[in-house]
Amino acid sequence: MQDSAALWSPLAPSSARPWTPALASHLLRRAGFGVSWGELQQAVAEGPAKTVSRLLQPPSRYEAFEERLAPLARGGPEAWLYRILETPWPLLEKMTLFWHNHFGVAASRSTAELAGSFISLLRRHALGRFDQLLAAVCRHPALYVSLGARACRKSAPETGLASALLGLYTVGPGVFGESDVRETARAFTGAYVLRDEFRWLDYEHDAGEKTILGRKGNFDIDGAVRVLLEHPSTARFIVRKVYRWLVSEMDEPAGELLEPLAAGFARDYDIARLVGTVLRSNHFFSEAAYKRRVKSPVEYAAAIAAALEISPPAAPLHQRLAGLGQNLFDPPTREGWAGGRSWLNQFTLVARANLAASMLAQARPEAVAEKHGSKDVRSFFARLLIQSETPAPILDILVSTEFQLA
Amino acid sequence: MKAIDVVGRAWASLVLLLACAAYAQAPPALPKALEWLPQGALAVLRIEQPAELLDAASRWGLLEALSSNPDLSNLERLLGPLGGKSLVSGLTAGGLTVAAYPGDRTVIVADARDASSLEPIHKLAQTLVALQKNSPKAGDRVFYREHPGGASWTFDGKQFFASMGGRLAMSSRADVLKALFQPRPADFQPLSSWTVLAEARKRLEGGAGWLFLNLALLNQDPNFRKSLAGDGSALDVIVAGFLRQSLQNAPWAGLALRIEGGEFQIRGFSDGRLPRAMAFTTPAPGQGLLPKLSVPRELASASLWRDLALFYSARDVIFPERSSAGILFENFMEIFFSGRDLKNEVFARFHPAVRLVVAEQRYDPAIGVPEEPYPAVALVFRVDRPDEFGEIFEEAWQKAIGITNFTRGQQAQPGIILDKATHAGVTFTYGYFSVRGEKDRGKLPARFNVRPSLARTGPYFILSSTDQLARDLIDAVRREDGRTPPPASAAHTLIEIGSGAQIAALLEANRASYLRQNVLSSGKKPEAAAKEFDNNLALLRRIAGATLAFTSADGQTAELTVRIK
Amino acid sequence: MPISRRAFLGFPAALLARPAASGNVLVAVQLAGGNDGLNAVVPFDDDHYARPRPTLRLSAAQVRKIAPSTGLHSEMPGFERLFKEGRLAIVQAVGYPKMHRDHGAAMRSWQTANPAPSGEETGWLGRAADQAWNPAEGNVPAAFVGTIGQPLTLRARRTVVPSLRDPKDWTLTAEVSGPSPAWAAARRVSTVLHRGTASPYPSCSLAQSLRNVAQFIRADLGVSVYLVEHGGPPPGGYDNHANQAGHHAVLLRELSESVAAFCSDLASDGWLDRVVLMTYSEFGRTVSENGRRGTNHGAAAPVFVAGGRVKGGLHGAPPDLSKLEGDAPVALIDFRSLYATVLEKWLGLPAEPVLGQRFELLDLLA
Repeated sequence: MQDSAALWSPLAPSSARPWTPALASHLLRRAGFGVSWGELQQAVAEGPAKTVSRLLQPPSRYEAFEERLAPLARGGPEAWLYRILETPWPLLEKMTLFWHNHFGVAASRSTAELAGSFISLLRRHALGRFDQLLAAVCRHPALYVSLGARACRKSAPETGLASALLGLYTVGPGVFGESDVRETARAFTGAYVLRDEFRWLDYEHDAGEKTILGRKGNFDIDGAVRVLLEHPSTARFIVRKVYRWLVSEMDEPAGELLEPLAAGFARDYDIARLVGTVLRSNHFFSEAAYKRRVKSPVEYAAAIAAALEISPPAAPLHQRLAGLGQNLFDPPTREGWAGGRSWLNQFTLVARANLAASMLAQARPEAVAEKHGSKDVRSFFARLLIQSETPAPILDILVSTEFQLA
Repeated sequence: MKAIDVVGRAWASLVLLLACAAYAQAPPALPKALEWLPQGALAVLRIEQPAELLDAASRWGLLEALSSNPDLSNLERLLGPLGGKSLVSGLTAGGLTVAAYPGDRTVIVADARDASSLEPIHKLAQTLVALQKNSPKAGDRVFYREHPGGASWTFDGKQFFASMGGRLAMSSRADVLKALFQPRPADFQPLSSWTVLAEARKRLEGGAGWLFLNLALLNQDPNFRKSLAGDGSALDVIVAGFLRQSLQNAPWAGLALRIEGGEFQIRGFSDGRLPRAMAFTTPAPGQGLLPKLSVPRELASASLWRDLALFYSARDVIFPERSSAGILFENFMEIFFSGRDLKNEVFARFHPAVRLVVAEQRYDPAIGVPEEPYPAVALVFRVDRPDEFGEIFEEAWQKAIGITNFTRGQQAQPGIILDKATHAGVTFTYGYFSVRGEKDRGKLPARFNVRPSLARTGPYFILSSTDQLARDLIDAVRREDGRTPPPASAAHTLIEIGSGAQIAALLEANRASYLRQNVLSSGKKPEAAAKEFDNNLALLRRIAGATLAFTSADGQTAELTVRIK
Repeated sequence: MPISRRAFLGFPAALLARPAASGNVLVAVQLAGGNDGLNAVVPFDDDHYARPRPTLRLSAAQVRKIAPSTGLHSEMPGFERLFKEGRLAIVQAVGYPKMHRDHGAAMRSWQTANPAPSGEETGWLGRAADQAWNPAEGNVPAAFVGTIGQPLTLRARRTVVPSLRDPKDWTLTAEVSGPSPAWAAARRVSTVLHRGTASPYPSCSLAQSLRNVAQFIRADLGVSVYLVEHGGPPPGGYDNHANQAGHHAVLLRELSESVAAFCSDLASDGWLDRVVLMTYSEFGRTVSENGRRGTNHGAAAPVFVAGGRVKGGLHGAPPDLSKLEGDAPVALIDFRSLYATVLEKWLGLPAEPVLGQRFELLDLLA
């Protein structure tokens, strides 16, 4: 296999490997939700390095955008969907969704307010540092309520919580045993959620010595979290998940391929740097990543909305996306959404087609094409949606197998 | 070639052909609109004096409000330079008629003062057609053709227009217009000879305009039926069941508009008997609604005739499916009233004349002010055997508070504390949330809008969401002093709204909530939603008062009167 | 070598003909609120039944006899007919040890097949759907047909289980063409809906749901499990704490007549042999009445199983009303045996991965 260092080094476009609209579109899709013609042209003009740098930073109008969105602050999943459709900083929302999927905290297993506040927390750290994110998550009531661990009693430690923390959120499966679960649960005793607030009850905390993953100490929450973060499997597990999110859902990457990323991530848990490295890399722009993900329902709808330049109402759209299997704020289990092929079955393909047709009916594609200087609607959208030179009716493209891929 | 082009061109040529053939010299006068349009409409709208209506709307400020709507503001920009309102009055001097037929076929017919009134329209059409023709997309879809007496045109391929003499007709379907301008077959049945419409017109005509709804046909559409259906709950049936059922069962319904000075009056009629299960809303002969109770800061009030005992005995017919909500209601009522015979020992105690009052709250700064202020709401019942039933009802009410508290406690939410207060010699129970520990007393959570109260004075029970409104109602009921005048009408539901400005102020205080709802459910940009909200409030502020009365006698009647400042 | 995109999504061009997706179908009917089994399958001459129920007891004259000392509630003529035809099995005293008595925990137990408060996130039929889902084929193993929120029973880890409020939800409103199996399936739904059904159904919502299920079955969509519900969202219409007689009679009539109509409908063109229908409810009810002419939350209760290949009759021993626990009969058959039976013997799916352990199978199916 090719030297993984070379694979992760930045793409340098050349005549042998030129920077094409297909690659630009691929980058924008993965770093966000949908691609409009204007954004595509800008990315083509700027090239990969400059585009990635730009995508990692909040754009100048982001503060104004947040202010405009303030009245929606207390909204539920519909408000988040609205934000995803309108945001000038899509990478932040894409990574917020990644962490939402990672932590699998569901509104239906806690409350709508807690779930909303949890998403805000995820957004604050989405492109920040994983160690800070994990520490904050472990003090947010939604985590405990969602895992049924409102009361971590000294006499009855919450092993469900510990098991999720170890197996789903940090080191991953196959690295820990039953005793690690029990000991981690002991470290978390004293954690309570009272009246929807996180509280630490000293007298419920088992302060004795614990052995977690081979390390001994009188760990409390912060101590246990530190042990988990310092374990080499954590960085590898998170990196593997980020790979699945940004690079490919269809292939399991080899450990050697991920090693350089994991080593870098383990140093300081800098999410933005990890994401930047991945998005700039040769590997990302190769066949190993191109169209190797399936568009989740939110990505599907957002891609159509961006290309057709429409603003569908968020509340009814949220209902339809829930029908397609993605109820924002409410993943089916703590493992999040399975993603990949699970989005597509004979029912959801029909429901997607119906959604695409109804969104298309609200749009004025000829006006969009004309605005960008094209008189041929079919060619314009074939190029924008799937980077094809073969003109085709827009609906046919939207329901095609090709367009279901991200 | 697209189908629309073929149809458009074929239609235009046919009109031309027919116009030449049938109307050889000067075109004869066309029959009146209602004699010209065919039967079988889903709905017919007739405005006799559109100019007068426009004037009144403009006085109300409705036109300015509508100008925020992009489609209408485009129309305004087109018509403005051509004379704006005076153009419209000339265009519609003979009346405006709109008829909607099944299959999305709608026609709008404007009868102008005379053919020359249509000249500006013809010129406008020619200009628009010429502009569109320059755009490459237009092709054959856009055209303007003259014929003796008139013209036919379309400038966007989506709306088709035809004029003949002083009549201008418009439809989104070319074939529909084509059929209208063709000579009629011998067995043609116009709207004017439609029995059911004729029936309706007897009651609808005479004012500024009327709307006729062919409910028999409309109710065949599942979407229409769904829009009439409520949420199926007992409360919905008690309050609005009569309206839903009458619209579901009647063959037709109509609205008649009258404008007199600063008053808009809309009278609605539907021809239909209510099913027997709905008899609980019909006042007994000689009986009727009680007059409204006045309280300070009143926003709205309602007087209803609802015989709860009759409702309860008809519930198996009204709710044939044993839904979860119905069973829950049954279970809880039996618990609250400790297993009594609900029909005879509970519901029969309530006199059917019930009154509802909504008033703005005044918050005690010592306690605190909620971030989102809601109005206070109260129900006033007159009961039988108040001494005996009083304690039974008090017990039930306290149980309801208790179960609410218990459930809230299960969800780690704060509960209500019961206390007693005295006003004008009446001691009553009320509940309140403790404000201790609340961080910001100027922005309390919504629950601080509620201080449930039950006051019993004489034969009246006052069930209020706040103790302040309970006190105000004790006073109001005392002023009545048992003397109630005979009912003014046979109405069974009477709703009155006081000052629109006051309601607008309350809505303004909840601005953020409304805007959020609007943006998320309609896809509007926040700025557009804000503008719409402000426009609606401006309209609301102009309302000095409104009443809505429903009567079930000789069919169903509704009368809405809105007074504009 | 990465697999080609087309092959990945499992829509190889070769798959032009309609796949033979015919297999057995399970229709689960959720009865929400706690069905009073003792007044549905009535031990009419047992004094232990009659004495504690002064206003609710049913005598021999008020029931439809199906066994020497057992009768069905008089409002269940459909079930009586099915029973006599050998198409209705009544499994008696079904439950689990120390049954939960509150709606939330009790219904969760039946929906997740896990009575322990484990925070189980998936439903047993959702897990079955995950087993039966084939990513390459993109089949839809299960669907909810109804208007309330999708019950936990169908929550799956991976599979997307559709909620069909209206049969048209699975038709194409978009104008697309092509040989894809997804479009073909949607078109089959349209065809079936267009043809309609001549079979009569009562006018309640359960009947409408079952009629829709029958149509979906005819459209041969490869769906193995359909879930419908009777009684609405929690707490549920069967929760008759007060004035039970009238309400329960209506509910039982709706249940009996809707299921009987469903069976007739499917039998009329030979589909009934491929369908098994089974009910479940969170608990039965207390033997004694409370003071409000109703009953409180109980424990074990009978389960109804109907279908063309069902071994009709009464199964298991009747509940022992002389040995009550908390005023309700003790379970004699574990509900998970019933689940295991339909999973393995009817749907051909291994039961242990779904239920977490082995359960003895029942002899319910021919």
